[in-house]
Amino acid sequence: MWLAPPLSPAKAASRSKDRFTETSDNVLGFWSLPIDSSCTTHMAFTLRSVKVPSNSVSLEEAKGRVFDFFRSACRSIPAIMDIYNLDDVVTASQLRSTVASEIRKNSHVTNPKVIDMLLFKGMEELNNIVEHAKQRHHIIGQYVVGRQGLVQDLNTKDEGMSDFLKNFYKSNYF
Amino acid sequence: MGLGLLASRTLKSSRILSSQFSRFRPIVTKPELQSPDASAAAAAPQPEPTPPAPKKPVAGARVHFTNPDDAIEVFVDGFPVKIPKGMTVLQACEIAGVDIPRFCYHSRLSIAGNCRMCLVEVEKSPKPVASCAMPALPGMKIKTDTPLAKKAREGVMEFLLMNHPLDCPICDQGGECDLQDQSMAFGSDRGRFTEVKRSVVDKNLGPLVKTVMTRCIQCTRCVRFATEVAGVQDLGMLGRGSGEEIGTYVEKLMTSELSGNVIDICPVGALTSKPFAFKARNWELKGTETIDVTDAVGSNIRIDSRGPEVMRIIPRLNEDINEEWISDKTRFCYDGLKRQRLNDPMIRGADGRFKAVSWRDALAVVAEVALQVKPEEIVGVAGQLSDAESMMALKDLLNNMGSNNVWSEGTGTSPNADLRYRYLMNSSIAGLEKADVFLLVGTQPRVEAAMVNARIRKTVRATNAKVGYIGPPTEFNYDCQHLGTGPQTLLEIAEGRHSFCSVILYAKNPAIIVGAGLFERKDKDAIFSAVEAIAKYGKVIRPDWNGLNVLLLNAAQAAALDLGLVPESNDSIASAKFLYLMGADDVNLDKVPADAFVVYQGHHGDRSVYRANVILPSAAYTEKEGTYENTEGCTQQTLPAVPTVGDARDDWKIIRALSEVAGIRLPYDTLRGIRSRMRTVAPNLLRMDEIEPATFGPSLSPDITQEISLTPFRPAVENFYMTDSITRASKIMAQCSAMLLKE
Repeated sequence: MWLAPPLSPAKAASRSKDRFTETSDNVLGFWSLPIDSSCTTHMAFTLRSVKVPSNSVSLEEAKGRVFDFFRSACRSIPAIMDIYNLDDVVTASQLRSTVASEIRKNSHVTNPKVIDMLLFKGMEELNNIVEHAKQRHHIIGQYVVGRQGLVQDLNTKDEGMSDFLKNFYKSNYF
Repeated sequence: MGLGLLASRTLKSSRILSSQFSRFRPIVTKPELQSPDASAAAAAPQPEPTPPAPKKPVAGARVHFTNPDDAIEVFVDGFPVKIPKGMTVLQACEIAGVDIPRFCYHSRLSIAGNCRMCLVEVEKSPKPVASCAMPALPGMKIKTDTPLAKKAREGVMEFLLMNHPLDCPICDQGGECDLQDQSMAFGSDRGRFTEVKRSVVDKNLGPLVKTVMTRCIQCTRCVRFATEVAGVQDLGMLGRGSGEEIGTYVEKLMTSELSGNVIDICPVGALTSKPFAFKARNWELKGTETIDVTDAVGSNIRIDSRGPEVMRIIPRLNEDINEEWISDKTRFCYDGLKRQRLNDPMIRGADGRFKAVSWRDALAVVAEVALQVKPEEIVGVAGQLSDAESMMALKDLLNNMGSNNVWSEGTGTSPNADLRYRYLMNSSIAGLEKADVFLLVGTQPRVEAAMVNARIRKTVRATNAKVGYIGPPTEFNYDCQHLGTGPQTLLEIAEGRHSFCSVILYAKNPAIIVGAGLFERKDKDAIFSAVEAIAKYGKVIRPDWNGLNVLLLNAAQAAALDLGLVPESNDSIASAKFLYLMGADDVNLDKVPADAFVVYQGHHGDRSVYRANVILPSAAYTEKEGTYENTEGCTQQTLPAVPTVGDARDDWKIIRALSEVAGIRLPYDTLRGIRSRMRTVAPNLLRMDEIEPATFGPSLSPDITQEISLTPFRPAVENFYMTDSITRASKIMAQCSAMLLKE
């Protein structure tokens, strides 16, 4: 009985944590694999060694960096799903499209410097995620449920609602 | 009062004065100020400075010449001014644009002349004269800015401050105190008083007026107000000399419905508001000019608020409606806005308890029920505090649902909304001053509309107008002949068998005032035809005078009848399956069937909430913009002073939202939209601050076949202090009704 309790969520999380520490001890085995194989820039996923890459000289170079970043993010998705125990709430392809849509949000940006800055922030975020600096509900709240918040009214009746009624439900002052 | 202007003017001139003599102002009094001759001599050799342009009259004071021959000319500081005969020197100065400092003088009270602050110099007069009490004579040369006048004011200030405590930091009047302002502007910078200040025992004037009698400067404004305007002989002057004090002669409360006004007229902090005591400073308050809805008069008020809280209510000048007074109910009902408020939509569950829900759910439930019942079983009642916009929306909503059973409470069964003269005060409130005979039919104006009563009292005092009263025994604060208690007396007068008939016949401008409490009687048409018979033989309605008046009870009534909120059938409430109460707390809900679905939309958890199935919280009159029409047909507007409470919404918005949820969307989204809809029904409701008189007279009224019943009239208002949901929630009003209505 004591040795084989039913798998509670807390237990499952700690189990995944164990596996994470296990793998992260093996630096080459887990971390270097998805990144170093294709990344030309020196991306290392420990905070201490995050370095600001040199500026992109052209839009093309910045674009290439974006694709590199997307690839590295996609490669870390299986690990992320594992450490945060996301298998029962989301699929890998859903997460990939979330990452893609996050990137596409900034598709209007053409200044390479700005793209570099956004890339840096993206990398920082990815770093934080794979480092397990976040908790499960952060990931679910930010990338699985979406930015609209947990309370989503999916009532189809609301679609035909006038602006007046929508404002009325929000507040008295409009 | 323009005291800032006054002060700056004084400071400016004193600077010029001091530069004439030396850079430093001596502590001792100036020798040239000692005698008027010396000062005149000192002033004479100087070259006459070019006079500045004539000033504008103070506070827009206007002169009305009834007879051009009566005009006289006086000179104020060298400028000629034309004024009618009989005006005082102070009034002449006001018209010339010179504000004279004063404490005891008040334009609406009799002249006392005891504070001596208004001393001015008049040429050829041996000593300064009290301008408030001195009539202006032709050719009088008044000097308000001379060293003599200044010296006189300085001396008066020194005497007044001798016994005035130095407690301005803890005084509620601080910041709006006449004594404070005028001592800054006209007072000396030091006094010679070294003894102990006197102190006076505070008086208990009841739950509304706080007294700190040591601060009193014996201006006697409050005494004159009580005896002249309020018509109670409660306050008076006791003692002589330094022992003089204001008080009630015996231990007695001030039992007047206008007692709060003594707070406004007191120039110092001797009489202040008890509920407002130590609550706020006047400079941290935001003033919103709006109107009152606790009775049908529509008194003009200013709501002083701090953040989301109404701190006090004070009157605003409107000569046609409330002059500058308001009733105690208007002034002190505001604490009811903080109690018993509905702040969330609620649905009554199966266990009989209310459960807070979202607006979405509440409206969905209401709409679902409304669509299930038959159109003729839908009934809507607008409450006595409803604004015209929300009543328009309610009527539109119910009409779109196929029901025409919508009315405003207090208008009784089958109200007559076709002829406006039958529900308006046709001679207007200010016009009552022209009347010389009043016949009050079933109305107690003192409790129904205190400001109208103040107008009648003013007329009775000024012209000795006669007042006859038919109705239950009640208190009047003027001479009044109690003719009878019921329709019997009315019929006698209508048939010319009563002694009062001759009084009406020989009157120049007779006025009949019918109480709206009679609307509830079954035989009201017969009573009205009797009243109209009196009006006919008494020549009450003439091209130049319309004295046939109805005194309404509620703020919503006139607008409701203008908008045509008239029920189709009289007993629709007994067969209702869906009852929509828009703030209606005074409807009799005993007859409502047990299975009826009752929606209460309102701001207070008052009587009707006990029966309601759904509560929709709405905004009170201090929180919304709404149109109200008063009893004389004058349209006025409230403005929001504070934000709404909790999750409440404006009344018309709730109905508009409900209409959309129910699938019968009303075609207006904004206040402008709903007002343009109102224009098609009652265009007068868009003309703000204008009286729209009734077009037709009794010549069009249909013949009445109804039998008059002889049951006596009943009082329409039982408790003056508690008439609606706000005042019933007010603690101050509860104290008033407990203490002041005891006898």
